[in-house]
Parts: sequence; structure tokens; C-alpha cells
Amino acid sequence: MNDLTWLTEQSKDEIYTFNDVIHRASSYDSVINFQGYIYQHSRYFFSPLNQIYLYLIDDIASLAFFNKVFVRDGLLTLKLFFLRHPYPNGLQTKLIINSRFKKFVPRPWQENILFYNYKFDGQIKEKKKTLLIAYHLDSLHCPDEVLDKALNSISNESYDEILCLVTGMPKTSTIDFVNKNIFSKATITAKNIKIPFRTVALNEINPRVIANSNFLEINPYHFLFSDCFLRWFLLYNGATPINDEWLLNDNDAKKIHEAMVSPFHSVEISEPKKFPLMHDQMFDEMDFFKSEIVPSRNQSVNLCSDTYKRYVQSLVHSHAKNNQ
Amino acid sequence: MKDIILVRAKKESDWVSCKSIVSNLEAAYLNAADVKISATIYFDSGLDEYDLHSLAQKLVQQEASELVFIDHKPHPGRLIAKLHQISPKYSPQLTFHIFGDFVLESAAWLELNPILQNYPVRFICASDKQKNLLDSFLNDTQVTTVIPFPVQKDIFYFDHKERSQVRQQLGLTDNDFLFLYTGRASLQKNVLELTRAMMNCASLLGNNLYFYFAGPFDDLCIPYKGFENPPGVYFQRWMKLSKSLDLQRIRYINNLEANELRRMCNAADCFISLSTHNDEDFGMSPAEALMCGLQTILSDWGGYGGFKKIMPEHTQLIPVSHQTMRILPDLALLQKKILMTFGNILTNEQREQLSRKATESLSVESVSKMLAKLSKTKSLSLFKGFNQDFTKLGLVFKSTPKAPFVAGKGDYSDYYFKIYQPYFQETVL
Repeated sequence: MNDLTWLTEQSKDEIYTFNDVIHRASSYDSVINFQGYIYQHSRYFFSPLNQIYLYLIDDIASLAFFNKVFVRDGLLTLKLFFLRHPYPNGLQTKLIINSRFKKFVPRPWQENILFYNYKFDGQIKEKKKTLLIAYHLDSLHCPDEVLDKALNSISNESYDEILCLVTGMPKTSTIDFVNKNIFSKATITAKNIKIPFRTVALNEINPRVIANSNFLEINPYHFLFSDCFLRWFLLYNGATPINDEWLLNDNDAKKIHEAMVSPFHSVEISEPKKFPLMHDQMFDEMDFFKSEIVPSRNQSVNLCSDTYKRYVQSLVHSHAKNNQ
Repeated sequence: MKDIILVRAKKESDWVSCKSIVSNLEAAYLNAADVKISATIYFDSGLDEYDLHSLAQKLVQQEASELVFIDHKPHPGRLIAKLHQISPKYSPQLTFHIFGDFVLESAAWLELNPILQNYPVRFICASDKQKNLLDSFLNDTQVTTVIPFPVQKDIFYFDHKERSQVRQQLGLTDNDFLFLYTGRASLQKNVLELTRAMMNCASLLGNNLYFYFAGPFDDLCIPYKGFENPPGVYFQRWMKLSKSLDLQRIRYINNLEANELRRMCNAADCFISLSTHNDEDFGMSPAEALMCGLQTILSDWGGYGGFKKIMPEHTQLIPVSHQTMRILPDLALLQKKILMTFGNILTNEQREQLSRKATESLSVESVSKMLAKLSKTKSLSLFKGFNQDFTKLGLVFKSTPKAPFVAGKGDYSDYYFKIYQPYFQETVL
């Protein structure tokens, strides 16, 4: 059996340098803005897997310190990383990415990739008193029709209360306060639901309430973020999910390790057996960096701009079409 | 008969123990004979000036002879300052139930000091050691008294049938001995140190020793030294340790509801906690365990020492000291105590008796009687204020709130040991 210590343990060097690397994150305004935009989801929590958002890294050399990094990015910024760094240039580090992104890994990077899937150890759909709904108000990340469908699916459920954790505004306006626009949106969308319904911030919910809650996370495409603080926090405090979309069983990969990330859920790490056929042209997009969206490779992309998000989404769609 | 208004927050505390303390205290006041509670008013943080003014005005109009603050958050300073501003002549007695965060809130208390001196004031501490700590900051120690935080006897009691049933479900035989810890799993609660001690004892004693712990994982590090941990750290430390454990015998059994906690307490044979948390002013978990008739092994820290007075024969205390940057119990002595206690399974009659005795001291009904007795004591004179030592403490917190007790190389400052000296003192009966 292979020695997996490099994967299962965090070496002293890694522990020492990891803090340094995450605190030397990119200082580009656009990166800081994007970090604020998804703040409630991108907040750091400890994991021995060296979890990181790649969009915060300006120089891939800083990844060389680590045997492995657990990539929390959604497709938007993972794609950006591969566009900025088409080749690993000798980097030995293994990037552990969400297995649902396997079709977006460029060929030169395939040797560096491991996959992760989530596994929930409790009983999914175990009925509790309160329902927590987490969604990010971004039409590309969480399209209205997906939200409406999700809300319709719970309209006949019996809960004492529904607490809605709506994110999507700059962090300064949502840490402690509920944005009134969001509230009215939530109120409107909740019209079909007869259960008392209110919008709350995460720090307003007592952990005991979380333990007595089900939660519904609406994150259909893992577009802006994949590994999410909000989901981790709810699971860590004992909430039970009612949807299993975020749990993906990948039969095309060989499981090599399972790491508990809370008392109730874990991540399974696997080695890819094969990658889907690539539409290579998709990653030969040097023109991308000449476009108006990204002036040059060394300058930052406005990750919050709809133009860039739509660009990545169109790539996703064209890729999906080419692989059908 | 005194006319009392209870003041508490509507929003329940994030601290599980404080949440039950506040509702149990409210129940104790409402049950107290010869105590007239005219109202419970809700004072929450974040009130704007208008709401605060309205609330203070309501208090003035009611003209109660005593205001009793039964919650720990928000600090009462804003409300009392407003009350004094709008009606300086109205001076009811102010009674404060003091929680573990008294030192943490010292800057706010210091700010309130001049205003408080216009009122008769009483501080009710939950343990002797907390009273000693508070007394060290007062010009007149006659204003402090000790009344424990109450526990609900209809939730925490001994039931031998439940004990048999739960032990059967857990697969425990009559010869198996179950040690139990309930409460937050955090650095200052020393849960991993306890687990290691249990692991060592299990290897000496064979297969009949079991240790379960229940409660939420908490990443609070040592904020008084400015040490913070990111979320998830303590759980990962447990995961790392758990790889070397026999997880059938040493287990984390999740964060349990009150009724589930009682079931576990009934199934267990000894409650054990090594907490050296800086705010351990009382100890709701040991109190609940005692109400279920459990013998206990506790660190002699803060409020824990007080349980020795209630159950001298069935409470064993482990002295604490400053070791390698931490405040820790004597772990060698702990192992001896575990080895000595192992096998000493109390009979149902003994458990019933212990439970009864604890109920006489700690139940809501018992606390009601203490409060009724206290209300008959003679009126207090105006508060004589906090002393110069407290001024220094308040200013330390005001100037360095994020690391008030840190010294060179990350150790505790000498000032910390001066302030917390009462918590370190060995409990003497």
C-alpha cells in the first residue's frame, strides 16, 4: 500500500508556511472585492488538507510549499486559475478539486489533480424543527428558476420556522444587517410558503437552533464557490441537509482517503482513473487574455463582473455541448 | 414585601449554559415566596436611543423597589446610565447576578462605577471563589452573596430504570464503568488532556473502562492572551488523537439535548471535567450531573470547588497550576483518581441519595428559597464603589481588550495570576 502520509498529515513545514501563504493573498482590488462578495462562503476554517482559494494566489510558486492543497474555488475561479497557468511548470503539489469539475482540467495539469467528494455520515432528510435555507443572490450562481423550484419543493413541508441565510452583498453590509432589498426578495419568493419565514445573518442563529435544523443549500453549479464555510458551519453544528446534490458519488475515481471535516461529514479523496475527453481548444485561449475582459495575464480579472462570469458560463456550456 | 422587576435579554445567549441559567433564574424568582415580581422586562443589545429611553422611562413609571439583572448580556451599563439620566432621584436597589464574564466586562463595569454609587447594589455570585474574586475589587464586601445557579429538577434527576435501559442500549455490562464529560469541547476545557488520561488508564485497567464526551466543539483558544484559533481546529485535534483510540470505549457522542444529557448522566458512573476555562464561575454541567446522582472528579478551579461543599464524599478535586504556558490540572494525580474511582459503582440507593442532596442545594426550588431569604435581609446602603485594583483591571481591558493578560513569549502575565488568585486557591472545607 502506498504511503499516504503526505496526504493525511500536515507536515510541520506546511503548518508553518500555510498561514504565511494565506495571509499573503493577492492584494488586487478585484480579488479583494470578490472575496468580499462571497465572504460568508469563503471564510477560512481549519482543515489539515491545506484548504485554499486559488484565486487568492498570485504566484503558483507559493503552492510548491505544500504536498497538497484542497481547492475551495468554484468553477469561475478554478477556470481562471487554469487560464492564467496553463502548465504546472514542474509544480509537484496535488490540487484536490471537486470531482464535478473533472471535465475542466487541462491535460497538462491532470497529473497534479486529485478529486474530492463530500460524504454525510448522518441520516439525510431526518426531519427537524427548523429549516435553514442558504442561497447566494447571484443569477449565474443561483438562477431564479432554481431558487423557485427549491422553494416550491418545500412548500408542503411542516416546519416551525424557515430561516433564510441570503448572501450576495458586500460583506460590510451583511455581516450584521439584513439588506432590505434582499429581505423583500426573500419575502416575495416566500409567498407560496405558509411557514413563518424570515431572513437572518449567520451570527444571529444560536448553535442550538442550528443543531435542531434541516438545511437546504441552493448551489446547483458550484459556480462561485465549491467548498463553502456556511455549509461547513451548519454541518459542524449538527444541522441535517435535506438535499443531497452536494454529495456526489464518483465511480470513475479510486478512493484513497477519507477525512472528517466535522463530526457529521467528511471529504473522500480519490485518484482519477480517467479524465473525460477534453475539448482542448477550450484551454488554448490565449486570446482570452488579449480581450477587454482580461487586459493581461499579470493583471487581475474583475471576478465580480457579469461579463467575466458570463464568459466562463458560456465556456462551461460550450464544453458541455462538445462532450455530449 | 419588595416589588421587583426582572431584567433579561429577549435574545437567548449563545452560551448554552447561560441560556438555561437565565430561564432557571427567572423561574426561581417567580417561585420565590414573599417576593413580588411585578414584571420581566427585556433589554437587548442594539437598542437605539429612543427605545432605550422608552425602556428606562417604563422602569421609572413602574417605581419598583428593586431591579434584578438575571442575564449576562448585554452589560447593564447603558440602561442604568439612561435610568439615572432621566430620573436621578429614583434609586431602586440594583441586584446583579454575576456570570463568568465579569472580568471580561470590567471596562464596562468601571465606566458604570460612578453612577452605581447612587444606588444600593447587591452582587450575587454563583460560587465562593467567584465571590472572593469579586470581593477583591470592592470597597465594601458586604454587598456580595453566594447563591448557585439553579438546575431544573424535572429535567435532571436519577432514574434507575432509565439507567438500565440506556446502559443496555450502549452495550454496557454491570462491570463496565462509564466516565462522562458533558460541555463544550475546547482547549481550556482540557478535553483532549482528559481523553489522553483516560486512554492511559484504559490500557492499565482493561476492557471495562469507558469514557464518553458530549457537547459542541468550540475553537475558543485563550483570548485573554490574544490566542485565537480558526474554526474547526479543536475538532481536527480530536480527530488526530482519535486515531490512536479504541473508539468503542472512548467516544464522542455528539452535542446532546437536555433530556439526552440526563439519560447519559443516568447511564454513567462518574462525571469528570478538567476545565480551567477563565470564566468557569460555577459549572452547570457538574451541577446537572450531581442532580442525576453522579459522583464527580473535577478540577479545583473557579466555581467547581463549590461542589465539594455540597457533596464532600463524592466530589474529588484535582489541584491546578500553571504549566508550560497553560493552566492545567495535576494530570498524574488525575490518573490516580481515575484508577481509584474505577469500579466504585454506586448503588441505586446511593445515587438516589446523592441526587436528593444535590436537589436540596441546586434546584430551582432551593434557589427560590435562598432568594426569598435574601429578600428579607435589611436594606443596603449606597454602593461604595469598586476599588483601585479594579480601576487598573478595567483600564487594562480598555487599553488591550484583545490580549489583556499576555506576557513575553506568549505566557500569562503576572497580573493574570494576581487577578485569578482566588480561582487557583485550593478548596478547603
